[in-house]
Amino acid sequence: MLYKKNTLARKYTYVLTQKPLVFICFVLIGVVLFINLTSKVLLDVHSIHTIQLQQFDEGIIVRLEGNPIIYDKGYLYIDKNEAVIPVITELTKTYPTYCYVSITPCDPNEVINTKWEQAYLEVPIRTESLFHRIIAKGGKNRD
Amino acid sequence: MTRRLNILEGIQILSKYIKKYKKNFFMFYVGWLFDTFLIVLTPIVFSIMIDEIVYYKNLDVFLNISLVYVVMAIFSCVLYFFIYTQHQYLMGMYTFDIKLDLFKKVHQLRATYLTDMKSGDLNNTVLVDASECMHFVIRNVIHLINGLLSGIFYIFYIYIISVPAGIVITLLLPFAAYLTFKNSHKIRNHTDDQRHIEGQYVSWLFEMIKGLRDIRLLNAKSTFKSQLSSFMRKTFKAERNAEFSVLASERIIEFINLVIQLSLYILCAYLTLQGELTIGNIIVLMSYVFTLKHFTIIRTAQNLMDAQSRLTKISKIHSIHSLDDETTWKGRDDLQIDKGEIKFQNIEFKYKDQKVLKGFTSTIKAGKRIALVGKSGCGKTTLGSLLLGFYENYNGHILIDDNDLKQCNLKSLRQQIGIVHQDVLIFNMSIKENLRLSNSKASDKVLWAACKKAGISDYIEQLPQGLESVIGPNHLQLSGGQKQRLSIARIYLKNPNIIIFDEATSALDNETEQLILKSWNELLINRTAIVIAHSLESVMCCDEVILMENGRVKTVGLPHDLINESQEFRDLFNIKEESYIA
Repeated sequence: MLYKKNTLARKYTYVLTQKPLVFICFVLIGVVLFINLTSKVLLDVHSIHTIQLQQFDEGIIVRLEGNPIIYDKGYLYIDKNEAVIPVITELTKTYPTYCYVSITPCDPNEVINTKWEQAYLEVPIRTESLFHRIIAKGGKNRD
Repeated sequence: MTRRLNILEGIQILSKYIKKYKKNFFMFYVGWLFDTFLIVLTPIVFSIMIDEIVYYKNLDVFLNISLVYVVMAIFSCVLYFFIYTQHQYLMGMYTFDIKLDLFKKVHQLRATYLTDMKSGDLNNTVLVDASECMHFVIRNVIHLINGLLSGIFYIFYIYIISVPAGIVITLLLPFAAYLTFKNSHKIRNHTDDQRHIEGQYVSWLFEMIKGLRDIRLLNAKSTFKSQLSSFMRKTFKAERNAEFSVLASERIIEFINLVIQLSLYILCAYLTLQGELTIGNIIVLMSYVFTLKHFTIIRTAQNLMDAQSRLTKISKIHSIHSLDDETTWKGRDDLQIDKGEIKFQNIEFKYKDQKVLKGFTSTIKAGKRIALVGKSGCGKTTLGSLLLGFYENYNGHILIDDNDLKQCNLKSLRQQIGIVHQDVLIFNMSIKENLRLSNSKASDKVLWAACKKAGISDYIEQLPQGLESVIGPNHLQLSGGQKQRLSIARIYLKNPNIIIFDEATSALDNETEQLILKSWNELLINRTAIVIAHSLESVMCCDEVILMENGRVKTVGLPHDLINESQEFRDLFNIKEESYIA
């Protein structure tokens, strides 16, 4: 005989080609794995607010329209592609249609220039799964 | 001429083979679909990872998504391995079935088609075209569907990411698709021309090399040299046209795609400045536009072009399957031969429009050795073919021991009638295997007995491996006489009641012919024999001669009587007056 019969390879080919259930189960495992893994990773959904920075004794205060739910973090920038400053946010005053939030840079060495005329503050408003972000929103982090 | 099929017709023709492996095709498709789904989503995953790390410095999320990506990538690798196993299995089994069916069909084809067919074409159809059927299903159907599906996915996600980008793509994509298809068609036409000319050139070259000896003897070297130059010029021209067409078309396609990309770049730049798009979004858009261009449009165009050429091949296979075969032979009875008397009653037969037999009537008595002689084209070999059931559409009756040939089944007919040709069919395998072609159950003892009767046992005995000696290039080479003896041994093994010798000794020298004719004497005891011969020696050892002319019997008589009485017979064998008087 020119070659040695590989029993394992023959069994593997037999199972894979003659038992559709094995292959289909494997694909189903993949689907479940994908849904499960992507559902467990949670991502922040941000709302972007155009703000004007105001320097007070308590620190930098900004006015946000619409009363968003404020978590303790946010991102401040003028041009997002140039520099984004992670900040700690704290709700100071709430009114029916707007609120005041104080912002402090996460990095104490970071200095916020209050002379910026118009800046943007991105604040996380809720979380969503990676699955939802991929399938329903094509990777966009805003609604 | 093969008819042009469309894709649905192609699928319909192949459906009987696809049905047998439907679960494997289904698994293969499901696997590819899931893999395509993962490929479509990969740029989105990357975009999220980039946005999270670049803008939000969110290392935890970045690593979590990376982990998801790695797990799915490993899964995809394993899945690809499984898909490839399915592919290999299908490639082997599905193609094997098509080849086997073709092989069966070719074996059952009526002799008329076999003489008309070129063996090169047939080889190509069985070996190459059958594999193309698999490529058609996988590349031209499954990948086409997946390519179009992924294209729809891409456009859908482009709209989700940015509606203006989606609108730009929707407006420009049909234009790009149209130009790509048009230019691909142009390229295909030029490359088809090139292939056609190259095919002619290779075929001519093959024939030329085969006949190199004759060309030298004819002193036709200069004619062939000028033909070679002409072919090379044509090939060069076709090559140049094809290359220019490919280059020009590719540049046009590239330019159009560049315009689309540029429009999208401008739009992306504007939207990014407006804060509408992130770096991640731009990466997804770029990746999708590139994939749409490269994998959806260009590949779909190529797929459709390839499908056309593969459909031509499927059509060729289909046309072979549509030909009449011997399964329509009406005779069902077993041929019973007791004595071996053959009666030809007013046989008329024509090849296409050429009438070959025009009322041939004769009786060959049982156990007699009859020589059929006549000028080339008078119908001697055709009579042999009719006896073996190669043609059914003849008028008149052929009776063997009063059994009408048309009422008998082909298996019993060919079992009881043996034939020895000038060119003995010897395969590159052992002597034993070659002999067993006529009787697969024959034992070594029976084989040796047959070889002894055929007068070749002495030669085989002196070979180191005896009956196991392999015949063929780099192995044992047999002379014409030895091949004839093997053929006679086969006849002994088959043991038919009637034997046809069709120009069996015409390629042998006189000495070998005499030896072979001697071996016939024992073989033909109690058998009826028809000897179709151009050599006087073969004719002289027969009991009777039928001289044929123009598809009819001209004269019947003893060989010696014909030498004396028939001028036509003497002319045929170039017998001078003084020699026969002597």
